[in-house]
Amino acid sequence: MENQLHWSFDYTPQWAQLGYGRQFEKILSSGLESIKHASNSTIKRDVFAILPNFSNSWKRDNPKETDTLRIGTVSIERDLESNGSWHYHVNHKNVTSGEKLILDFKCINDPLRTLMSQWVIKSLNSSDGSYSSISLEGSFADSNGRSDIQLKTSKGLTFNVGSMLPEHPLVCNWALVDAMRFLAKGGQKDLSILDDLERLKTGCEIRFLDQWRFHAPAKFWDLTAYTVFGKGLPPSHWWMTGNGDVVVISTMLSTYILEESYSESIV
Amino acid sequence: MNDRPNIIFINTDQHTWDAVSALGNQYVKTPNIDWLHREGIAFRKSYSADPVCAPARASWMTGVYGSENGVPFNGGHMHADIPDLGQLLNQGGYHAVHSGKWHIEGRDVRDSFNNLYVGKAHIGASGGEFYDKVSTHAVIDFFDNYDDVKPFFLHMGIIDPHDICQYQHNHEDKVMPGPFEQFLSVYDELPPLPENFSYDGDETVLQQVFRRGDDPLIHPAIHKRVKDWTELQWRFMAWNHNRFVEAADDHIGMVLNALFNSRFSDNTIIIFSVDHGEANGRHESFQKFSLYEESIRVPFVIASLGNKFVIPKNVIDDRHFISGVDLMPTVLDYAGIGVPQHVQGRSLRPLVEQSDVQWRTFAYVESNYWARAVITERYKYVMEYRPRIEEDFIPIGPDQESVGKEQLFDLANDPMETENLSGDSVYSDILNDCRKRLFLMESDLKRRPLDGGRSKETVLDWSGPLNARWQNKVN
Repeated sequence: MENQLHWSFDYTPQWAQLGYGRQFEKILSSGLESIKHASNSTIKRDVFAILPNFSNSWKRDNPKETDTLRIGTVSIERDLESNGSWHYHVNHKNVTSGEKLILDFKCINDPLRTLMSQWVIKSLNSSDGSYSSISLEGSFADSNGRSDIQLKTSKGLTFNVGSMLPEHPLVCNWALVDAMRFLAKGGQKDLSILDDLERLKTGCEIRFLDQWRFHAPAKFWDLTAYTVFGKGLPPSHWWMTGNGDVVVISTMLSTYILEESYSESIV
Repeated sequence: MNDRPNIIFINTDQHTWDAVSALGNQYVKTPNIDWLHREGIAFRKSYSADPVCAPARASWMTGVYGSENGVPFNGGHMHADIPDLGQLLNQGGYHAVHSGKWHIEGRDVRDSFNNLYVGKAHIGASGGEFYDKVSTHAVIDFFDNYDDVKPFFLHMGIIDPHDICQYQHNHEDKVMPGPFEQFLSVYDELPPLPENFSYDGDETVLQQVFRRGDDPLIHPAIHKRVKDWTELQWRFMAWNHNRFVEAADDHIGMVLNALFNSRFSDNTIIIFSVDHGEANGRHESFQKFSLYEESIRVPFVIASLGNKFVIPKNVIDDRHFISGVDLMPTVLDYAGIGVPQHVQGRSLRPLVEQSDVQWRTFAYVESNYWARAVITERYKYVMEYRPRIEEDFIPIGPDQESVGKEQLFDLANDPMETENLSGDSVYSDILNDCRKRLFLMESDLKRRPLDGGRSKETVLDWSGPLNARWQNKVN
């Protein structure tokens, strides 16, 4: 059965002619089929393919000769450590910007996946230009009853990127793949999101968007979407299965589609 | 020589002039742009030289208008012999670097500036979501590693909120639900419909052909959709624009905080501006191009995080008319480098230092090759030249005697520009005065034939429908 793609997957007819819909369906079918629900998983890995939403975000000399619209990949690996915290490793590559972003951080083993202090951001740039890479260490620092979010370069340049009340939970946007199933219940207000572990977005909300049935070759899935938005955070749409697995994330310029999911319980 | 300041020029893109919380806008939060306002002087009568990306930027970098530098519209090619700011600074002993959006055809930024970052797929018009964060990394890395004895000039071209264009394009080929059918739930979350959403519609023919009607020249597919938009959909666009503004502000915040904690904090002058505005529903329109205030008026702030320079703190200058062409001479003045004689802009340094100086009495703006505006203390005059029948590709000027339709607004009584007074005989003297100012200004411009890229094709693509409309009006 043919899918009528949901409006929140921002594609134009040009991209449909180039096979956006076909590629979307192929990737998502593969991703959905790969989901295995190991009970009490302690190791998880989700890989999302990134398709472009507009010509501006996807530049090739002759797109019609290309059989993939993919502009990048993001993999989100996490494992439950013996001390009870979740250790995340995110690898985000975008061929349009030329950036490979590697994030390493830990979260409390709570439904929100509250971010813990001390994280590492590594960015590599493959485009021309003298800027080639940067490494940043992140942490919380107490200051006058508030918690400053600080970044420090490898040469010691330290600067704040925001401040919040210490009791206020903070979540990394990539940990939302696990927290969304909890946050979406009844909606969420006044959430603080540390976008890519470096840009503090306060007053964020999560609200129900829509439902949509995706038809794969052999079966269908009923998906539910929630919109995440806030100060400095244009809306993104997060589509989940009935089990709470995030399978599509649509932003203004990109659609992240689950390509592969892996989970395992190692005690 | 080493006492010369470092200078940082940060721009956002397609940012409505009053979408800044420091100006009292309660629907957007821009704490970092506000920080610059507190640490410097903000010019309120600041105008883009030409309210489209490439022309505005070409004027920043050359100190002359689009009709002089070869870039009177997106796709125009800069004349090869006109020096740009990067070249002059590098020749003058500065280390001039660039990161982010450039968007000036005919001039490779890498030939003029030391290139920090321009994207893997080189940045065109949009793509803030992809590029701005990398550009921010590049700038922070520069602060961390720059150890030359030369002072630096850093241009950071932030793309957002230009991604609002993608929001608009997103409506072209599908029906998008309104804000309440999406996720917003209460009216209070949306900015109000602009007061001048409704206006008299008495506009230049150019504006009608380019931006109105069933099949306009510019973005017809978006026009077809927004024609049917509800009030809430217009307001939702402004809401989205504000989120992109805030995203840009976050990048500015990272850069300012890194600068503040770097060894360059005290010895750096920061200039912030915008290439052009975003209509956000004003005059029932979107994007830029027009000569209404929402398109041409832009923030312009000169600040320093330290106290080394004679830069007043938390001051608003609402007296002096300034233009995008003033950026280059201002930077060169602070850098102690001579300003080329052909430059039309003037250094703002005397205004920053609040010296008693004779200043221009009106602002002049070009747009869409044929349209012009003059803004005086009280009035705004908009006019268009009629296209030539036989095009010679020399940007048109007062020698053509082919003035088309005119608009006149009394900005004191009608700041939202809703009523065109040009046909009212009461204002004939004012109209004549504005015409004189315009023609006098233009007689001083060194207009040169366009060349390169698709410049000539663009003029022909546009002049055909314009001439056809004029023929129809006559007949």
